[in-house]
Amino acid sequence: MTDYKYIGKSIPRKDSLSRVTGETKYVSDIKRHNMLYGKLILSEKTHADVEFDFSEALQVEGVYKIYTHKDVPKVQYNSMEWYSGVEGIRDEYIINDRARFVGDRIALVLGYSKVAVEKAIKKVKIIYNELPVVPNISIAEKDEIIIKGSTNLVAEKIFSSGDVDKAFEEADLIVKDVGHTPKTHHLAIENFSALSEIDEFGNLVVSSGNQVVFGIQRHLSRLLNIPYSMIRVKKANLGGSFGAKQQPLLELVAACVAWQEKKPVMIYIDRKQSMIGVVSRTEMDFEIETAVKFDGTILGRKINAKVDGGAYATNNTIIMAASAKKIFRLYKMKHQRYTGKAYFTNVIPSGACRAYGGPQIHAVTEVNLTNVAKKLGMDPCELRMKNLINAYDEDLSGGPNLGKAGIKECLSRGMEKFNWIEKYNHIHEKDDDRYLHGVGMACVTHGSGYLGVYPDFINLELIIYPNSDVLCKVAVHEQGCGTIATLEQVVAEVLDIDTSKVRVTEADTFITPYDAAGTQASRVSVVASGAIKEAGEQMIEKLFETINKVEGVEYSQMYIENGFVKIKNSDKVYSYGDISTIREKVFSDKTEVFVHHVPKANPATLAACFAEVKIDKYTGLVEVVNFLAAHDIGRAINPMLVEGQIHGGAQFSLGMTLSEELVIDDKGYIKNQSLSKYHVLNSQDMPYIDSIIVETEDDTSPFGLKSIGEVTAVGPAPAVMNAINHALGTNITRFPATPEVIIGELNKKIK
Amino acid sequence: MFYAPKSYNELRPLLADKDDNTFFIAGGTDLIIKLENSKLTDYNIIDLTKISEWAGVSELDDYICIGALTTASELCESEIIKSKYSALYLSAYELGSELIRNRATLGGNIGNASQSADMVLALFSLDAKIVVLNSKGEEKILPISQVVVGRNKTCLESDEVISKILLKKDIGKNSFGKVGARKAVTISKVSCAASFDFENDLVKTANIYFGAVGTKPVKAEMLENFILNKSLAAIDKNISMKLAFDEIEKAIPDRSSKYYKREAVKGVVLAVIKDLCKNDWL
Repeated sequence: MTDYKYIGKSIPRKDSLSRVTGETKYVSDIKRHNMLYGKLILSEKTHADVEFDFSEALQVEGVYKIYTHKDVPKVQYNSMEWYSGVEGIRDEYIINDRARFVGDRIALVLGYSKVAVEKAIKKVKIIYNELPVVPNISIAEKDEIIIKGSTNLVAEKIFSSGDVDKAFEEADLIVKDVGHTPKTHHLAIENFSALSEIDEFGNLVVSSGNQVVFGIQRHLSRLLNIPYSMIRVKKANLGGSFGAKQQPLLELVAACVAWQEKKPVMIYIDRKQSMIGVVSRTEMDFEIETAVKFDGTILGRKINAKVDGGAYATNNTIIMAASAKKIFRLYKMKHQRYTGKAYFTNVIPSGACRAYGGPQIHAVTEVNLTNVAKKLGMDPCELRMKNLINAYDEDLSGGPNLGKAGIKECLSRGMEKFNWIEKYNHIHEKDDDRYLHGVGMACVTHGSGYLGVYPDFINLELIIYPNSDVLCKVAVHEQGCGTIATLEQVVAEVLDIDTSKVRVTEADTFITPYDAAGTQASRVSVVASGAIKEAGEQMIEKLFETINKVEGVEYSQMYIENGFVKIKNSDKVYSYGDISTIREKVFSDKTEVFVHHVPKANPATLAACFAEVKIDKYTGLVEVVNFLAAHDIGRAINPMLVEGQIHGGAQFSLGMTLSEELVIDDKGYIKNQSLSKYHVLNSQDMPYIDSIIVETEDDTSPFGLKSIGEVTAVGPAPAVMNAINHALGTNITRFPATPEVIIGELNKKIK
Repeated sequence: MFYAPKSYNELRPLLADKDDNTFFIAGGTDLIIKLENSKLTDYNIIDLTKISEWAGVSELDDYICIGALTTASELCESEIIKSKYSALYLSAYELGSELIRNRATLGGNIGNASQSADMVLALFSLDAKIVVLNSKGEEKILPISQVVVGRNKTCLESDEVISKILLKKDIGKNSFGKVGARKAVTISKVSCAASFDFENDLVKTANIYFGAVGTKPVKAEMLENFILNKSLAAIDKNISMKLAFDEIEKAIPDRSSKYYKREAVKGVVLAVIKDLCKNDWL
């Protein structure tokens, strides 16, 4: 493995202490003189035309105005669009003209204090004229009640490779499963908020914890008809997003008010509103058939997917594409067909949620593959080992090359560390009257950016100041993963200078150069590192050039070390800062570099996850007693932060299997709109998360990197579901397997 | 208006004037959420937590006296509660999160009378006596079963307030167990509190209640009768579980949640019996 000075070191984040001590300031900590507070009123009804009586509310002292759809521009948008080249179905207004789900934003109360706003909200009288409801896919596909346009079908797409029908004719065995993944809430600790104001130059400024400053800038220019050049969107400190803050919402509300009222405004919402009024993870139904030979060779697969997209189009079309693409990038299956259909329903719209379709598709395909193994009488690891991709295999659907895929190494090292064979064959011996035990595993993949699907590039500016401080201007949106710290290590590496001297910016449309896609798709560490590498090389060239021209030192005699250019066999050293001053004095030039970087590859990031569960037959509670994730991430820039991602991803994904679900009844009401009824795993419920970081050092990407942020939240769910089924002898394919589900399954078995 | 009387004497005139729009706050872990979810915007609050005479655990001749404003955390820290009133200790210990336990009070738990209230369930099994005061300075002492009468319903009049909870000193073995959606920080889906008095190692009185299976704690008479006159060691666990199943079936015959609760109760009852059979008791 390549030896680096900064890369591969577990350097703590500079902001760790202020974050854990509560010193860090978030958007809602900001105050401005004469600032308005604004809170949305969300619909309590599933589908209705709405009328209001604001008379009492407007009398509350401190209330400024109440907005409805009549007060916002008559321009529709789609929150999924992140640049001018993606055009979705535009069907949302800043405040909507009809309530299309419980949680739809129908009014906005503005006042000079939160107290006034909260009081006025209670005094608003809402008259709902209810309309027929489409609460789920099965009603939606009948098209008897149509929410908008001429059909509830938003989109239909097919993705395929090879000759699927022929593969199924040649099969010895076909194994079919029908599965389901729920709508879930992202549960970032920080709820949503956005501050907007007009600056002293008349520019519109928006600050929020978001993932796409340039995307928001574009939406605002369209919606408010303001020049791009007058819109400054700043990424603020953020307390978690997981994709929820990828779709602009409060930013648009805040900016609209600030622009129209010429006043600073803070829009905020509470937890319940965050749960029902923004977006949820896309709910999906799957029908999966896998065709195999008796020797375990997988010939092909047919997948029918249905997306419950909710009341607005958002990302319904691309979530299908994103989930479909995963199936071509993990196993050597020549013949596959994925048919996807997305529907409008009167429920919370869908949005990005950590791994964008990956958790949904893997949840069910990986349970199905374990069922294949069961039917063949094979160990599920053996079946996978036989069919997993090899390094530099092609994506048979035409996507980018898979890169130096080390999934087989993940699997074999994971099996050994987990003691898989022993546990898989003997774990039931631990069973007693009350507790049942089981093990399960799953393999998963994700991308490392947008290359091959959408434009992917990043522009970046690297500056050295006269005291050797280094600034890297790049439109990064720190999501809590430690991206900034990671990139600072990469800057330190390419310039050989201590990380304490390096600062990497967060995104700001007035400061940071353009970035194609925002902080999404697990692309930033990989793509920005490539840009930093390119910029670093150019910067060193500049430093050397300066010394060469001024002092006449040959290039071959110079090297860099700890922030200095040094000369071989000489005591002479030049600090980067001194060279910066010399360069300015002599050449009328700064030690600055601007790069436009386009990644050359989009290698698959891969993982094998293993779980052991202990299930209480009486209470149906599942305890995950052992968990191991083996990730091929190419190269870990900061292993501690990588482990942090693995731990957090496991918490996210285990919740999907064990407890997390927005429960929606047949009238479209969400039954668990608070955290007392929506259960995530707490620290007490979490097992020790063991991990193996497999470092294959991909030859096609900078420093051999692959992504980590999203893929960690994919594998634990199917691994645990497989373990539950192993323990109970069931075939649960509907997520989550709550205690009620487990008790129900056990009772079915008795009967 | 917000009132924070420091003594019962300061509270009395407030009690006399208390109307439907005035609420006691005794920690606020339930009230704040209720107010937020209500349409109320103008109301009065009487904060009871500053009345120091109603805080803490003390010993009287025949009773242990717990001030109504004693928090769940303080109950957990009390040696006497921990060693003798395990049902109350465990119900306080497993109540909500650390943050909730630091605020939530025993009196508040009674006053709110949630059907899932863990500490109230423990008080039912311990046959606690509740000291109630009114605006006129009158005091009455009622058994908990008379105070909590239904879901979010107590027998208290508008000008009455809970000041103290009395537990008899002469107490046998008692315990509490619950199951929720996860290991901790969870609201009971079904819970059980049991308290037994013994004579020559045989159970002479049994007080067993189930929680979260009705509008108030449900007395488990079939199970109690089965256990009476047996030694703890002789209690058949399988029959106990079957009876617990039947008790839940009887309590909520028409609710769809029964399918889960009547099974899960087995785990709860087993945990309670196991705790009662511990050797290090008394």
